[in-house]
Amino acid sequence: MNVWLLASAALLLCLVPCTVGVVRGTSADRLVALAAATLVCVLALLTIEQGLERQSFFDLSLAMAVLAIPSTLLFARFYRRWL
Amino acid sequence: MSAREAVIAALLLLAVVTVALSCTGVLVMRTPLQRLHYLGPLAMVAPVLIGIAVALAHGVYAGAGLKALFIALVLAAFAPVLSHQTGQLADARREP
Repeated sequence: MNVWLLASAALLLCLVPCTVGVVRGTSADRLVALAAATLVCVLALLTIEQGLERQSFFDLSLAMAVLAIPSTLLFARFYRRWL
Repeated sequence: MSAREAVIAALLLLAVVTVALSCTGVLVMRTPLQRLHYLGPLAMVAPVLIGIAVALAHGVYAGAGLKALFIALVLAAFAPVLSHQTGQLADARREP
């Protein structure tokens, strides 16, 4: 196990507080925790790809970074306007 | 362990500590506006540290290094907008 996989394991552990935050609190609390979980997932994917030495997997974290943040943004706008 | 590997390990350690503290802050803080402050280091500091580590491992002009730095740029660019919108949602939902 190299240092990248150790870092990815630690980053995946950081998803635990985000998950706890997602399942409790108000809607805004949950949205903040969801955004934090999304960012942690992107970073964990980045380190997993580096740890497994699969360069093609970088496109996965790139796609997630490009798509996940605007989707959370859209969700926030939708929630504010209609719910 | 070479000097480059030591620097990469230190950058990854800093990134993991940043993420852990930010996630703990997101969980512990009371109001959504307080929690939003902890998204900043998560979106701006940790991706840049990991991007620099990847760029050091592969070289800045290699495909993986450029992609990692681009991911850090995308996250840093979108994070203030996301914080702003979530803050507006929290403000709209706040009890008078």
